Amino acid sequence: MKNFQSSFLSAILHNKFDQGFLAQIEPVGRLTAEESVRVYQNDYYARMMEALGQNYEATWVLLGDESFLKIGTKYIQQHNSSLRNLSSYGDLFDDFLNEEGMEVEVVQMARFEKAFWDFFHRKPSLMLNVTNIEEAVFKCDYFLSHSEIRLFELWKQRENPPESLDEYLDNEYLCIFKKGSKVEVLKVSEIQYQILLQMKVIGSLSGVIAEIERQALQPEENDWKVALEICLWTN
Amino acid sequence: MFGIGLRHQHFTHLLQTLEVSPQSIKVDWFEGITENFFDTEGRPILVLERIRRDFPVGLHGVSLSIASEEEVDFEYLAKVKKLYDRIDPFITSDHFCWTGKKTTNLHNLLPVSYTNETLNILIPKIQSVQDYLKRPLSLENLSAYFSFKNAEYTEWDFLRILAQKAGCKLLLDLNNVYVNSVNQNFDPYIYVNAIPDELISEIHLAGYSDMKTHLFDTHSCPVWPNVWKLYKSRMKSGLKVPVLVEWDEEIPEYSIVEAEAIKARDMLGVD
Repeated sequence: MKNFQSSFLSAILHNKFDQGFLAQIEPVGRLTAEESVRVYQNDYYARMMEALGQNYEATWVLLGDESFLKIGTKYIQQHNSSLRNLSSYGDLFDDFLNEEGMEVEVVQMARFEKAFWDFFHRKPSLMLNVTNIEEAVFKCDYFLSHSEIRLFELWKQRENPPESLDEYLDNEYLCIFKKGSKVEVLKVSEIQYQILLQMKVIGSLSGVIAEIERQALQPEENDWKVALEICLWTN
Repeated sequence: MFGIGLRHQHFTHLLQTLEVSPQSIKVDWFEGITENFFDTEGRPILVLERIRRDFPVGLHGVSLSIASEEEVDFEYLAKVKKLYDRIDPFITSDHFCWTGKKTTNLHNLLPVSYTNETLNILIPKIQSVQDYLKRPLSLENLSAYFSFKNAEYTEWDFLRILAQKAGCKLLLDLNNVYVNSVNQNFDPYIYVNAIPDELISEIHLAGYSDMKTHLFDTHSCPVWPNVWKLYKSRMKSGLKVPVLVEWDEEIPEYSIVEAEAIKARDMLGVD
């Protein structure tokens, strides 16, 4: 049993079909022994690609079928699954795309999608009730994204993608977090983004106020309000 | 009881129906894939819990890998047990297969040879899983695209002996029996009649695809007439176990899947 299972894995993952292994197999229908194992091999790649495609749907759209299938296959070949469910298969795919020299917006979209599904599977959040807000320490469990393309708009259009990306070229600052049971993708201004970034580093409002003053940034009251509400939801 | 496999494509429809007119849901129960719910605290588990408030729920695993040459993975089983404790499913199951190794899961249901060696390896493993989960294990027969030249038993004899000796149950998937009967050239009626009623915990029905060289278990279409015929014949014994229709690829709207479960009920003349 042990030898057979090792040989089977070797055939599926490394395309090694030794004759001793194939001689143990009684194929079905009109298939040969090798073809019958390839049924499983094809199914393996199709299943992993489907999982990757579900987790990186808009990344697939940006890359196009041919490129996604090519780079997806390469990823699958290099990244076996040790998971028992496929919902988080591809957790290194964003970095892989970066290492493979993919365009920056493709990598950014992959990071956006990875973060979205990460928050999707998290438990619902509760809004923190704080008495002394300036001294409170915040966990800031949110994901920040800055891109020169409107990722969120593109992601929403993933089932009917635009022919050209030109109209999507614009600076975009996003914050992804769990608000109650929903995943919130909030467009924020550049200064709100800076506040949220500093909150992640420093953790306390008083510390961030000092840092923002040091940087001579001039947020308005509403900027603090937006950032603070996010912090209260993400503790 | 007649149910359908719970798939995320139907979540929104089910949540809306449960709020507005729960009585319009015509199936008796839902079966979720265990692994789809044990690593999430998000929408999937919240939907499952909502459905569980109004309906009996079964949990059907795909990654136990009981027939792997490796030891039982108790880390995985701990997650399964935690989910069972949370959902309180009325029926639980997995497959009679292996799916890979702990570090390399192929996410597929892979066949093993029907030999005494396999029996001797599997019986204590099944017993240890049952002891840990504190409930009988129910294992589903699978579609296989090869068998083994060194087999010492037919599939049906092997499964019957395994269940009797290990004290587990069998989830009889009639689509899988039919697919294997065509691919491996045996009589599916001999198979289903060789499994006694008392060993069967549940019946599964689904659709296959004809690949011309072989039949492929895709769960991508309605149940085929030959499988319905096999179902009707096997249920004649008066077998009373939960029946479930699965649809996993090219999933249509809820009502179409539900209609298949109603058909399974009507075919037996059950109210």
